[in-house]
Amino acid sequence: MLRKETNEVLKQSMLLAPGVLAGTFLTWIGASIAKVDLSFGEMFFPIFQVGLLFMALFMGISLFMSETKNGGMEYLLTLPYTRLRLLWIKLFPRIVALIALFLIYYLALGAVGNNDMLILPVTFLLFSYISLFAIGISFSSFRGNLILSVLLAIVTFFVFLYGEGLVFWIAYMLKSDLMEFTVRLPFSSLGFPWYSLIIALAMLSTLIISYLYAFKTFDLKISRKLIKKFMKVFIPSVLVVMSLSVAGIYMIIDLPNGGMYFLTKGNLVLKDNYYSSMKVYDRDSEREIKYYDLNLFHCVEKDNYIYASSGYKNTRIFHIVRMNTTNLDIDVLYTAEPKAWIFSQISVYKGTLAFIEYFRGESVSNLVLLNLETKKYKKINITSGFNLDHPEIFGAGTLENQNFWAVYSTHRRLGKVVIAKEDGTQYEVKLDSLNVPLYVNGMFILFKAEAIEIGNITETGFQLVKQISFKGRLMLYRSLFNWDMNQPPVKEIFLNSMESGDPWERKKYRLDLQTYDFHEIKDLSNTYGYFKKSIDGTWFYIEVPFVRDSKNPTISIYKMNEGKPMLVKKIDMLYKDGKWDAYSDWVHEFETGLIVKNNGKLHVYRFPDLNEIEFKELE
Amino acid sequence: MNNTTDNPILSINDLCFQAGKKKILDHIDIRFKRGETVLIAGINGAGKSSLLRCIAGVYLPDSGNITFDKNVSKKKIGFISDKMSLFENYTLEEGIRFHCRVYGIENFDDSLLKRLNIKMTQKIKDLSNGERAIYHLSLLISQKPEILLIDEIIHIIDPYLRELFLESLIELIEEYNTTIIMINHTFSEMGRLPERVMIMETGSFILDEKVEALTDKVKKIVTDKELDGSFPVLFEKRSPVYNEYYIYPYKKGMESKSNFEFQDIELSEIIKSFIGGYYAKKRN
Repeated sequence: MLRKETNEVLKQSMLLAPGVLAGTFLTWIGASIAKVDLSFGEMFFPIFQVGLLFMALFMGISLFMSETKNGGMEYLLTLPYTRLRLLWIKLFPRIVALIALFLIYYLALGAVGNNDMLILPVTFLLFSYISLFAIGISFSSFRGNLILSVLLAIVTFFVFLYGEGLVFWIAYMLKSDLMEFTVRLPFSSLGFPWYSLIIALAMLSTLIISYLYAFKTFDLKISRKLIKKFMKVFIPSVLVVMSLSVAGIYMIIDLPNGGMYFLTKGNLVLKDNYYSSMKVYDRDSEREIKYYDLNLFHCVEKDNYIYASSGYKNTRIFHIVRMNTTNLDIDVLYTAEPKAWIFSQISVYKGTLAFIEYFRGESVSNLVLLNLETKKYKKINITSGFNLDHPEIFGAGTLENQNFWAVYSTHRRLGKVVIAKEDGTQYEVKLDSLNVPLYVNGMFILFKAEAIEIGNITETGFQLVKQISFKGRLMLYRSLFNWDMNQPPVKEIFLNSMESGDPWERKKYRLDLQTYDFHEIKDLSNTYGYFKKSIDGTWFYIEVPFVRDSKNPTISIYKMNEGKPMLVKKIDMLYKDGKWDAYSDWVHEFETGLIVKNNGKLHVYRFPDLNEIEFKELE
Repeated sequence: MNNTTDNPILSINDLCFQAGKKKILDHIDIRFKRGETVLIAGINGAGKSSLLRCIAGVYLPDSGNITFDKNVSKKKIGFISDKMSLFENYTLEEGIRFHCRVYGIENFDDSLLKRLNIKMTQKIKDLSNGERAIYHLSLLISQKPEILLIDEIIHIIDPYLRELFLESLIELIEEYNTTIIMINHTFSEMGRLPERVMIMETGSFILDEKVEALTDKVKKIVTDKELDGSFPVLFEKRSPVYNEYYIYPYKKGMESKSNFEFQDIELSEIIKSFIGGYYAKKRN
């Protein structure tokens, strides 16, 4: 019997190699069509991972497939074995094969020695691998339609994943004083604290134990008895495990210190904590802001105020608030409609705050123009036509004595710009631009597949002023500028371009907005980094070595002077356990300066001289 | 019922089995003696095959228990279902090798197969029903079974193979004192094989008799007259010329109270009368 099963498993295992190679080949075709340069390993290993997961599921779900297919189920059940022995004989070669396949994968990966080729971290892959096998086995006994069983098993796997996430969510909810939707699920980011794995395995074990218990009643019928028996043990046991896990997590966790930061012009650091109340730090002290959690990622600072969207207490309703940076008073300027979301950037132009209010699943959004003096607002309906991508404001200006806002929405490379005027009129222009266009110095800059185009957008369309040929993937976002759109003319812009297919390798370019001269800055290496325009109009380049490969993790900051980089600061990052911790250390850049987290400690460097400013309480 | 068998090779106690909400076997209590050949008959859907499947371990009962003599190992129980379930993708050779390994059979008895003149490299799925039944029986015979369960398959085998099949059963009984429990409706072919007859009706047994005792208890009256209500009529067949009355239980002395001739009838007819009686009862 064991020999029969071994032969069957060998045949099944043999399917993996052609499957993975075929998948790799198809990926290669897809990549060639999309002109994406991927190495063999970058195509092969992710497909191998997916192949392994399918193999685990298939081996589990096909436990009794050959007998069902070949009419041997009755014969099988009359063989002189107990049910559990039968199950073990079936499982043993499958477990050995799955271990062997995983080892082959792991050794092959080790031989190549590049973990960047993974789409799933090894721990998560291993956990998914075991889970899918176990879930597959529990579906095998029902012997229904194979495709349906596979689909149900995949759904079950995700229910299982979310169940595990739910445990954390409840524990964090109980511990945190914040509104519910700001709580992040550790599982959802594929991060595995040690206890997360224990909980996942404990939940998985309830599935396995329930199945072993129920399998004693396995017979020829697609048995309700078995399902009932399985559920009778599984539901209470998984609930007990989940409840104990919630209690355990509640007891052992300290709420993570994560959050969003913002460095103001007046040297305050604002921190919107993910799990607790917002804090504002000056050099000597910290103050807590109750009830509000300002979205600092999309805020704008103007005069003595920070303008941002925010929740309030435990409500999901979005508010637009302003915080006085002198006394930290907050007042609500606008309350969104109950079903509306305000997640995109807020901008200010002249005396008007502009932001987009959108409604999930609907293609009409509101451009809200709020007069900061009178606090009165006007809503202009923007029909994006694409409810997957939300419109965003990328520019504002004045034409014929009337203010206008330029809004861009995109979906699969199709894009359009809506020019909305303050009197409520609007017109739209369809555009072919890879990124959100820029609106600088009264000109629109489009980034096309093979050219940069500079021109005007009028009711009749885009009027080209200058075209610059360029093949590359330029990366420039409005966020490199200031969201206070009352800016003096800009002399130049700097861009990153991804050309080699390696996302961490970028070439740098300068576009002179007076002469339209466009050239590569060869004085900067092709390492990862980004440009930032500071509050006084100076451009900086912040070079951040890609952490996993970095042997000497140093952040280098260059000041761009007439297109020439000048090194002004080097920040040596500390090693942790022999390497820079890619996940807990970071650099956040603002128009006012940088906040760097290095080995758990926060450092604030202020533009333009990049001297460190000490904040005693900042964490 | 024959529940008092001493040292039974197989005891079934208070067995209940349901398929979904439908009761298939309802509190069944029976014993089987070593070496006896039992014929189970009954209407379609009475639960005969389910009972055999429960004994074979293919179905697990909802309650009650099935106990084998402690000297009978699971390797000594053979079952041929009406589906003649085997691993169909195997060749005959592979099937034999597999069966011998699992049951620890050292010498496979291929004498039956030789008489079929079939190739051992042939796939099981390519065998005819009769060949398949003989093949399956060969596998089981090599186990030297102490209990052999045979579902309703005899009628699907051609006359030549049927004879071969029955001959083999007789040899089994003689050589190994095998208890044979079989379901069959083609009673005329069974000859004198069954010693005990059991008839099932919707989940339970309505009759369990030794064949000899049963033939003594069931008689037939053929007459053009109407029978008065003093006779226990199991089943009647009417025609314009004469009527047939099946009397059960027949008792000696009934002749003297009437002028009718009480005819002896064959087992197959007896069983048909029980089944016919069930349908007549259902109609009324």
